[in-house]
Amino acid sequence: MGKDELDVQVKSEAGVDLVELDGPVDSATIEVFKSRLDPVCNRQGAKVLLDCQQLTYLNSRAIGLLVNYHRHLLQSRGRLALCRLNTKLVRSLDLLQLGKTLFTYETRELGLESF
Amino acid sequence: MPTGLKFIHKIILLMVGCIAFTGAIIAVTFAARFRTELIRQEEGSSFTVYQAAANYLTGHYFSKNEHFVPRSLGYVFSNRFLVAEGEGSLSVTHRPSRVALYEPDGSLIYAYSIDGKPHAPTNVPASSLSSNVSVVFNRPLDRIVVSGPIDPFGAVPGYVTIDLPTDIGERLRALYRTAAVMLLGGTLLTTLLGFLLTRRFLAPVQALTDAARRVHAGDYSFRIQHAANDEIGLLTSTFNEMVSSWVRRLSLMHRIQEWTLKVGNEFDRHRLYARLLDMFHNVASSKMCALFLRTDGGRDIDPVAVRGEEIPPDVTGPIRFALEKNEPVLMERAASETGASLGRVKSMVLPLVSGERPIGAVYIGPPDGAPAYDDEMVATLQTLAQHAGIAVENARLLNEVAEKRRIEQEMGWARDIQRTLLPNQAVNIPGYSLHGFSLPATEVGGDYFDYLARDAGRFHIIVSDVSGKGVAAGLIMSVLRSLVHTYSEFTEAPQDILRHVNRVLTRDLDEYMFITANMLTLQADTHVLRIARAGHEPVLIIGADGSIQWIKPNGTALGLLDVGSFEANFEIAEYRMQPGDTVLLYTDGITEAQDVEGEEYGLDQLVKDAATLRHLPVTAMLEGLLERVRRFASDRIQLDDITLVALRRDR
Repeated sequence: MGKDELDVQVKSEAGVDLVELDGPVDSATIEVFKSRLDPVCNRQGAKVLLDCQQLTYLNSRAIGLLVNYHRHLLQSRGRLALCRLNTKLVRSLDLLQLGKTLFTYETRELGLESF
Repeated sequence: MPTGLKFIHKIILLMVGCIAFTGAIIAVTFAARFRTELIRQEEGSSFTVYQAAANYLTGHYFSKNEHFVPRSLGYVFSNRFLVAEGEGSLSVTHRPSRVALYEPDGSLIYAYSIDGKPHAPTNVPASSLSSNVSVVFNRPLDRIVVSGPIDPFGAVPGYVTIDLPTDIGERLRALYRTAAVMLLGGTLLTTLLGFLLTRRFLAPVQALTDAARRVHAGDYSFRIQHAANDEIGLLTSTFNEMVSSWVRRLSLMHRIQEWTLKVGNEFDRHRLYARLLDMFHNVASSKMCALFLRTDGGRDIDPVAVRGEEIPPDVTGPIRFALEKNEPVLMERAASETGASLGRVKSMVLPLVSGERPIGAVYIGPPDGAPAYDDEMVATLQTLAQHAGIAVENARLLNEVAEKRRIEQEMGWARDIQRTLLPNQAVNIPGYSLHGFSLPATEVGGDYFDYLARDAGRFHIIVSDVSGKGVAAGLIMSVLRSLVHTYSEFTEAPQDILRHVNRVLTRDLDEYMFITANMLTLQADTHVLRIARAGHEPVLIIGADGSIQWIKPNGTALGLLDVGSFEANFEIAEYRMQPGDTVLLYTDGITEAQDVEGEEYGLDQLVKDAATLRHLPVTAMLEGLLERVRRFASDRIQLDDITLVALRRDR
């Protein structure tokens, strides 16, 4: 059984806010997720890379939040990208046809280079 | 009620016993001394008689040519020996009653007896005749016997024994009688005096006993009047103070009991606060008091009720301290203010505790009409604060329970309403079987499925999933249903229906929310199935032979992106239903069902189980699938809403 808590670490790397997610984003942790990402993603023109390697689950509300962050950042000439997504998350984004909307990268390096 | 002797009688009995014992000891001691003295006197007199007799016998012996003449001796001992002639009569004192003379060899020479009866043995052992004079008191016979040599120098051979009657016994008996009478009289007199005096002296003790009895019987107004400045007086005043204190405490206890009942039966929070303050205000007779409770999850402390004068602003600090330390804060009078009064505490803040946690505090201002609160009142108010804490917590819990019940009831109504929004029976499609159900994870779910029969053998089937769960998702679900029902009335194609729905939802939905949906339109006569997918799980088709097909036209979720993006990537797929084909629509509550280890049921297992169960009627097939999912999840609670819909072409 995986961990129940979500750990969110925010780092700055080459002018990019690197957000490492560890654990599930479900109904129990969605508020933690939002409270940690809001300050990062609501900043005008922010460049944010979400490292999802340790992300075990992302519920639909969290996906809605990501789309919303993406939309706002694009409007402020910023950008949100995701890297190291697991198969399940890739499938979820694919079902929602978000693969062409959100910026996703297989590795962290590719993600950082994209900014 | 105590049994046996009264205390006063015990005292008297003890006193009389002591006196009688002491008297008896004294009487016996003096009697013994008197007897000893009497015997010694009598023995002295007897010895004198012996000496007189020895002198006479010596003279007689030498005057009779060294012989004893019995006849002459008899005359003298009978008539003349120790006889004093007084005026008018003869006075006889210490006259021997018996005299016996023995030769040195023990043979009797002469014997005299006042009653004339022989009494002396004719021979005695010579060894029993001592050269020393012995004086012996024979108590049983009440007489003294003196024996010894006639002449201690041996000039006259022989021994004499003189027997003298005494009245020692009689005098001793008289003495004992007198002593007994005096002892008895003294004891009686002492008893009487003791009784009278003890009654007088112990009257306050009796009064105390009676007072205790009256107080015990409920006469709390009774007090003892005794002003003496002694131990009894101190005991009496202490008793009176004790009763007064007891009465005061009893009264206080009754008041506390009344207030406790009043506040214990009040569960309306605001009325409870008012009653609690009335209680503190009334019991303490304070100029003011206020009730403070933690609010905003314990971060703030706000006054919820106030009584009396305005609360001074400087109580905030003590209140915060009392809540932080969970201790009462007693504000004492200044040293210059303290006088004879016992009280020191001028005002106080008492925490209201529930379990170990302070949930509020009560501030009690200075007393009205007194300089300070005494220790007893402080302790009483602390006890009341404990009751108050429990009452406040009980009221809070009761309100929570009531609120929870209200919410549960409303959720129950919402669930019932939502059920009515879902089809309770399948529509009849010629040549087809259709079945579906939805099980929300909570009372109200965000999953929605529906069947809509339209004109000319056209049927719409929709399965959707609103992001999130609970009431919010349920409300969106009901909005979605209304939109679908409305647009399906005048729009034929499923993609057009969803397009219209999306335009409304994109405008109205919370920016974080979206809905995934599969909308299928079956033309039953041609068996053509048109499929529009809005970000939902692809449509699974299981052939009669167990073959699997996934139909996944492009399309993102409703309300997720802007309208342009949605419509630009929106496709429709068509599939011609073959006999035995089963279309399975589901939500992720099925595939993401978890077992106790956190493992998901998964898409592969769903496909496998659906293929296995394809021979069953669609109702049994879906029930079988649900049963397998539940068996997989075992004791794990349902995490998400579950919806399953199956459509099968029968022929």
